[in-house]
Amino acid sequence: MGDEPELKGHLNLVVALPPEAKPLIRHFGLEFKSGDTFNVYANGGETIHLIISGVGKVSAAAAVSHLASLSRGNSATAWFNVGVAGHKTLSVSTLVAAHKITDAGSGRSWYPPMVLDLPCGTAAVRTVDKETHDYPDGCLVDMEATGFYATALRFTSHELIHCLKVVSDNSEQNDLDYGTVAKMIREHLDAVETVADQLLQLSIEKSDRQAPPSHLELFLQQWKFSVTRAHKLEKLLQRWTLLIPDSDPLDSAIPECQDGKEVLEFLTERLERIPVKAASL
Amino acid sequence: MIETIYIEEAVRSHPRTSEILARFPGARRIRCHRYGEVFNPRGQDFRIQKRRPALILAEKFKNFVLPAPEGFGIGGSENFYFSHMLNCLYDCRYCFLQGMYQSAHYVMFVNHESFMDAIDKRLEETKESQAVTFFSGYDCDSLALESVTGFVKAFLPFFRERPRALLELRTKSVRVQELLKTEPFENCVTAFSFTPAEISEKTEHGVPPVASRIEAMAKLAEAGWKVGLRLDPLIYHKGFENSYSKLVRDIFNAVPPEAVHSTSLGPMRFPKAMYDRIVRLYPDDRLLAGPLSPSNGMVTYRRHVEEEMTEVCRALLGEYVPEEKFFHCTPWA
Repeated sequence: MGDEPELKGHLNLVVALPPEAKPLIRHFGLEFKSGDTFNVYANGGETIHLIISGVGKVSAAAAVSHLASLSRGNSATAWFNVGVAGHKTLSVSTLVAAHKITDAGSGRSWYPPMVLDLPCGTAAVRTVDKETHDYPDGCLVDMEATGFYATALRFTSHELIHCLKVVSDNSEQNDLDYGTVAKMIREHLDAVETVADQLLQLSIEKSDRQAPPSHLELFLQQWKFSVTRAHKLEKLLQRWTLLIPDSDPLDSAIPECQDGKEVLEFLTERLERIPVKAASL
Repeated sequence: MIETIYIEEAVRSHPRTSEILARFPGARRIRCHRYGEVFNPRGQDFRIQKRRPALILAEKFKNFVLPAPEGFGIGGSENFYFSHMLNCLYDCRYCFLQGMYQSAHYVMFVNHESFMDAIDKRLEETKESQAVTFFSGYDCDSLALESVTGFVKAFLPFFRERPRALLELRTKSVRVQELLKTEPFENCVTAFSFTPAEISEKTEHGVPPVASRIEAMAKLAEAGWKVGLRLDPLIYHKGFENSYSKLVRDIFNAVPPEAVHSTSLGPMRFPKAMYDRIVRLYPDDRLLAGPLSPSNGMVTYRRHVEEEMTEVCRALLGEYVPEEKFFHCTPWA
């Protein structure tokens, strides 16, 4: 285990109910991690977390905040809400991804960008405060999506936040049997995994993009830099990595530089001398 | 390929909306109240969205036609720009649009007639003796999405009737069919932007090859349309003299110099905050990691590099185009 490279992608799953969570916990090989405020599960590498929020948008928002602080996530962490929702006409057990999420109370809407290869159709989701059998035309009705989405947005970008809903009730079949929820989710585990994999990939990509240059820490240990200079150093090392990938900047700088100021001058001067070749752009 | 179309409430019944929706019967349709709900929120990732941009059909309510930046022009005494669309089909790594907007979705304003009214109003405000230029390719490519927008088809007849108003279509596209179908007229210039082929291949993602664009430019010239040449931005690289020399030679081997209405050279410059945003999106891009440095709030090549490139390219163009056809039309220059 210790020799395995650390996965940089992180995915946080948020579900409202234990029956929704159960198949996911099993499928992703998650284990119980903590249960102080919310029950939280994670895989061995702690790259995937799952939290059971309870019903309602306030609970969902609180659960997202809780999980954000508990997990090792950052702004590259993907957030994924899986759950059940009502719909006027769609058959029970139909899987749908949210393309618009509207808070019934405030009227405010969010639009998850459609950047994934989705394994299902999409629809608008309307988040209500109380359970209802009034289904607006074409919309899914749930009780968590806006709390989940709006709060997750505080931690990452829109593209990394998605909701997948299984239709649990409709205008003809509106007596939701919670005993069947686990079965409904279980039927769509492959689709859930398809979305989860893509979210993890986006998370890895964002994480790579945000990663500091590999030598930064060594430079900061070797010389003293003010905050402003450390920021400049990071940018210079980033350029060095791209333009002179075969040369170790630390080895080059050590014999030449006495302090942080000299390091910045040295790196700047070396980078200035690198010829820009069209073929290497 | 457009997979998702957002439709603003106000334009749901607009005939242009219906036409566009009919072109994409399989596209996901999502209603929104105002386009800004989708386009403007913070916390969007331009780079990820750029892989699958959606189309947003919207209505523009104000600021249809704006004054061009000081010194920006191609001969007219008054200069304005207007944007029937925000964002571009192409993905050029030096483009300011990637640092300008939160979203990579294409916003298309379907109320062309409101832009036309605003252009007429601007014309009324200027003297009859003044030539007024209207630039259309500032926030988008004027031709690249013509099959969706119908912009050229709508605006050519409008400008034809207003000879005092010069229209500049700025493009990297080869979609010139609508122009070729139309009888040419004097007050329309299709300006093609170029970088040398080896630079274009590396930095202008999704853009047709330089040779195809030269061909499109030549076809327009042959048909009698005026064309413009924009070496914008000038990209520094080892041997730039040779690559720009070849580019200019290739262009004028195909395009008669007398068909060229105007030329301009644009240095690569970004406002500092915009440059930082773009680098955060593309920290792995070598063009942006090149010898650019901050100066007076802008990020540019060093002055001597910029001056040398400008001088060389001006001399190259000067072999074909007289001095009076040189203009300045680059933002922040």
